[in-house]
Parts: sequence; structure tokens; C-alpha cells
Amino acid sequence: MSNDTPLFSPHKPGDDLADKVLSRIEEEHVVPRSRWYFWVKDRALWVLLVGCLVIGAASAAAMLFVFANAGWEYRALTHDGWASFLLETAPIVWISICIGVVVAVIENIRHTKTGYRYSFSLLLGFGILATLVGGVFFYLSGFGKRVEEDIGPRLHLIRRPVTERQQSMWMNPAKGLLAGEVVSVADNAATFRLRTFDGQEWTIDGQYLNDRSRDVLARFPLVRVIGIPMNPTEQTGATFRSCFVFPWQTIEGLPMQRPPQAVRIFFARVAVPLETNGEGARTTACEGVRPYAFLKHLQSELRYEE
Amino acid sequence: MQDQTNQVTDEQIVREALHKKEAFAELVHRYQEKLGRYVRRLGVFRDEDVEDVLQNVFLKVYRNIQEFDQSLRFSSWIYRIAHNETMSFFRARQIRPEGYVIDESEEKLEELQSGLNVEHDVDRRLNAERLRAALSKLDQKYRDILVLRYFEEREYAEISDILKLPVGTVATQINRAKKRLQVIFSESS
Repeated sequence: MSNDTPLFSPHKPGDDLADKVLSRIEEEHVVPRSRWYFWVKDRALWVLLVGCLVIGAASAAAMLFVFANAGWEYRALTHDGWASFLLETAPIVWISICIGVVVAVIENIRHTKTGYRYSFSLLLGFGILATLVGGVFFYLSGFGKRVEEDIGPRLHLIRRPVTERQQSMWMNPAKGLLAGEVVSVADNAATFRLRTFDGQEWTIDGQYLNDRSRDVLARFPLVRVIGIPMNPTEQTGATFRSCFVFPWQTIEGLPMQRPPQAVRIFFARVAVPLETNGEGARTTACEGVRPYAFLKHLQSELRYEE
Repeated sequence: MQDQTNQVTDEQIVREALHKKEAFAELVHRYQEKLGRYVRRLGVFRDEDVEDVLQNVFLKVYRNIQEFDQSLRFSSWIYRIAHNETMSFFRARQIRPEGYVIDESEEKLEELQSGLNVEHDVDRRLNAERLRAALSKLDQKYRDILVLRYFEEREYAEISDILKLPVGTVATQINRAKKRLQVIFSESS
């Protein structure tokens, strides 16, 4: 077939449907959309997909940051049970955004040229995996903290970041909980001064602290103190007796404890050992502190990095 | 020339139609009968409505002709447009398909029936009547997929491209459609 030869018979007027279609093309000025239109449309879908994945990853990173800093190891101190703990600490907003993003990713891919060929379970798996992998990457880069503390409140997505909520949970001297900045430590940590996160200064009796707690006081500027409120003493003016001191640290990357240790601690948290007498030497001065055995166990397990 | 016309592929005509509107008429010739039958099978009954739908289909094909690429068969692409335009027609008129024009030969109906686990009547005509009645009672999405499989004789991959569903979903829906049809057919006896 030469280039000059028509490919087929020329259209003969009188063929109703073809005539009508060609007439309408003329009358309605129908022109084929340009290739660029479809090229842009295809690219826009992919750009939207990438955008969704970035938002999903940022939310997943914030979610991981909240999980890491929810205060799991101290749950028995701060909350009466798992239900109240999860209700207060669960990152509902970030989880909801992640779910929304996965749905958007599935729909986005389905609308691409060949995306409809993939099964729902494959697209779901991809959406979840891509969001989580991106989330882990962002979390390890420190972006999770930024999203939770800076971006979330600015976009009115969350009212109080997890660190603020933790601080307010630990402003509870009636429950034996204080946290803040160590201002000064007397010789042998007999007493120390603590400026709590709400700005108050406390003189704290440290004479019943063990070596681990004293070590923390010496090394860390921010600490959490577990003990018992008391009437001010004449000698020191202390109004709080400390029994345990742990560092106050924001976890921004991998857990500081070695993974097997972190796993052991995690499972220890789930089953807080029942209080029994004689579980290690407990002074009567710290008798009111619960769960004492667990806190001793926790103190011995944790390894700190500064 | 007629022999030459038959050898020319749809894709060649599409390329020609980009430069000459008149060449597009050849595509209309090729597909008007097939698509007309398909649109009727989907439930558009009146001739004038079928023609309206077909005109819209071909206009849409012309408007979006640059979207077509070789990753898809042209017939799958135009059938996809025909399916979507028919659904738009139902939505615009806010109507359900007008009964069901099942004008299939008894042979084609027997092929469908052989895939069902039902008791067959000795009388072929009676079987065909019962099956037509059962098909008209089937949910639209199941009927559409059986139409493509048994009356349009499309492969699973083509149905996947026409309805924009994964192949696995096509297979599942065909099975479900047959089971449902089986139930309706059995109840009708």
C-alpha cells in the first residue's frame, strides 16, 4: 500500500450515523483533545499520589513519635488502666490521616492508565507499606517530632503535642509524680532543687535514693521524680520525698535501649508485677510508692544515653 | 478496496482520523452495529435512544482519540466508552434499564446455560425463554458482565480493560453472576 493510496473507501454521505456524527463534530466544533492534555492529566495523578504518600509518611512519623513518647514504661504510675492510658495517648488524628491517605492512594492508583489491573489487596498493601516505610524514614530523620510539636498545632490538627501532655501528666505531686529541670543538687544528693515544667520550684528530699537514681540526677538536666509529698521539714524545707529518679528524655529515633532489652521492658510493662512484701529492701519511707517492685525492675533494666 | 479496508487495523484508522475527520467515518462504520447491539444488551430499548447513545460514544471517541495508546486494544477502549456512556444515559434519565432486550440466539443462550448447574428442559425454546426471563431479573452489574463474557464473547483480560476491574475481580463477579442466575433460573421453574 503506497502512501498516496487511501487506507479505505472514502465515506459516502447517506450513511446515517456516520453523517450525523460528522455533522455534530462540525456544528459543535468538536476537536480532539491534545496529547498534552492527557500527558498533564497522567502526570497530575502521579504528583497527587506522591503528595498523598508524603502526607501519609509525615503523619506516620508523627504517629511513631507519639507512640515512642507516650510514657509506656510509666503507665502504671500515670493511669489506672490500659483503657484510660490508650484513650489519652493514642494519636487518633495521625492514625486517621494515615487511613485517609491509604484510601486516597488506592483511588489514585486505580485512576491511572493501568492501575485498575491491580487487586484491592495489593493496592492496600502497597499503600500501608509505603506510608509506614516513609514514616519510619521521616521519624528517624527527626521529622516526626517536628510534625507533632510544630506543624500539628499550627494546622489545628492537635491541641497539645505528646510532650506537653506528658508534662502535664507528671505535674501531679498528689500522685507522687514530679518532673522538670534539676536546678541544684546538695552533697550526696541529700536534697536537690527541681524547677517543674509549670515553673514551680521544689526542694526534694533525696536521702532515700539509690545509686542509680543519684547517677541520673548527676547526669541529666531534666528528670522525672517518683515519691511522696510530705510536710516541709525543719532542716531542709523539703516538701517532697523522692524514691526514684528517671531521666526525662524525648525519644526521637530508635529506642535507646538495645532492642532485646526494649522488648523485655515492653512486656514487663504489660504485666506489672504485683506488689509483695520483701521484694528487695524497701524503706518504710517509700512505702506508699506503687508499683515499687516494677520501678526497681525498670531502673535496673534501663540503660541511658545522654 | 473492500478487502483492503478489512485489512486496515483500527489503530491505523485512528492515526488517519487525527488528520482527516472523514477517516473517522470508517471507525463509525466498523463499530456502529457491534456497539448498537451491545448498548441494547445493556438495556437501552428504543431505537432513538440507542442512536443517541451511539452518537455520544463516537463523539467522545473523537474528542479523546489522542488518549488511546497501544497498551490497550482499540475495541476494548471503545467498548469501555460505550459502557460508560450507557451508564451515564441511565443516570441522566434516572431510569433503570428498560426490561432487557435479549435477542440472543438459542445457541448463545445454551452456551450460558451449560455453565449453570440447573435442570435443563427438553424443549430448547422453553429453556431459552426461562433463561431470558432470569437474565432480566439479574442485578445490572452481574448482567453486564455476563453480556460481555457470553454474548460479546470477550476474554477476561478484555473485560478487565472494558470495566476497569482487576482480572481476579472479573472472574469472581462472573462466578457470582452465574450463581445468582442459577438461583433465579431454578426458582422460575
